[in-house]
Amino acid sequence: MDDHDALIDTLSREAAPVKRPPAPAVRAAVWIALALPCGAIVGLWLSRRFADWSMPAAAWALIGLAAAFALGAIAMLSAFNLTIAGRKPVTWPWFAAIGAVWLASGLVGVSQAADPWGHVGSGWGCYLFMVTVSVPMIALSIVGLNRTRTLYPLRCLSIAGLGTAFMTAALLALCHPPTGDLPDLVMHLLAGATIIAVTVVLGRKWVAV
Amino acid sequence: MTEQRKDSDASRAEWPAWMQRAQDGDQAAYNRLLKAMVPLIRKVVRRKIDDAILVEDVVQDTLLTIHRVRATYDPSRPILPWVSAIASSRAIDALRKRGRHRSREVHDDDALNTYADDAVPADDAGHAQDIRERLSHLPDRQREMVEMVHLREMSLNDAAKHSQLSIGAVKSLLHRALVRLRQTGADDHG
Repeated sequence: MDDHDALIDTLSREAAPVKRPPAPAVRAAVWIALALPCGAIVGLWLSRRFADWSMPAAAWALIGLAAAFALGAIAMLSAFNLTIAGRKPVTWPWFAAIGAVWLASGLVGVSQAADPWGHVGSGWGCYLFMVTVSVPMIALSIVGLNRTRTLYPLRCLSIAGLGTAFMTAALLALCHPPTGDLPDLVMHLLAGATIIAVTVVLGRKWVAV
Repeated sequence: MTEQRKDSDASRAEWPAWMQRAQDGDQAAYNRLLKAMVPLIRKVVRRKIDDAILVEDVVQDTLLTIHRVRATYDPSRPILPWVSAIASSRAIDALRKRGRHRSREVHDDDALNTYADDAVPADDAGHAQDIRERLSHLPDRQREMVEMVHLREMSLNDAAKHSQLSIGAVKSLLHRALVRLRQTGADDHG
């Protein structure tokens, strides 16, 4: 017991005033306010074409865009929640329901494409767009999580990566045709998986307590 | 016993206020709070770990973690879930590390005798192996401190900077490591 008393005496002697971080919802909102413009600037540098909202599947594409934004925001809120000990991520049933809407909008886009099966490699440009646009967003999420760090780095970074992936999907939807073939959709999913993996690998050292 | 429990409950009701004062730099409140928290932390850790020495190591690790993340506590929320989550997480990490360590550890005396390093005199090689063996029984943080300060001869200041801990925390980890090494030595020879 005396061991702990000695450590506690040392820690309390060194205890300087600390500034409490803002609430997780505020941190998530700040992340969105900074990350989306950064991602959009990189996106504009990569592509100046915009989606044609007069096409038949445009309504579904808009629903997909809104769902991707909502999923990104929920995931980032969960990631920031996980940086506070004892807090839980948001409820997954809601996340799964909105995720199903997002996937359905993608599948509707595939079903209305001129050639739904397409050809291998047709989504390569989308993959590069999503991964490149995600770079500043990943950096911002690691900086944001580093402010408090977390007891659960792997889970927290995976969720932050998921949030970043959905936000890049929302940005992609602004300059992507409302319809797309199946390999294109698969490449969107692969880009999301790459973004999650990169976030976890790059952030692990910086966000673990 | 009942009165003790009442005292403890009454003290727990004060914890959020003490932590708020600690966040504002009140060192006495912080000291009182950490000392009051130790029994709760130990209780949470004991639910997951049955090794008495490891329990005390995890209690210490939990105190260090609380110190690092004390800014994240929101005084308007209950403090017990915050402390319990930290203690529980540190206990799980310790169990994982112990599991990984045991799965890596290989005891093969024949191989050691057959493939001894010719460049090192036999006694030195045996001694080095003995040190490695003993250090391998320490928790990661304690082993790192012994390696840095006693084997690589880093100063306490450098070791503290390298590990992002205070000098006091480094000293405390070294002390616990030496106590534990003495204990394992006594077990081996007893």
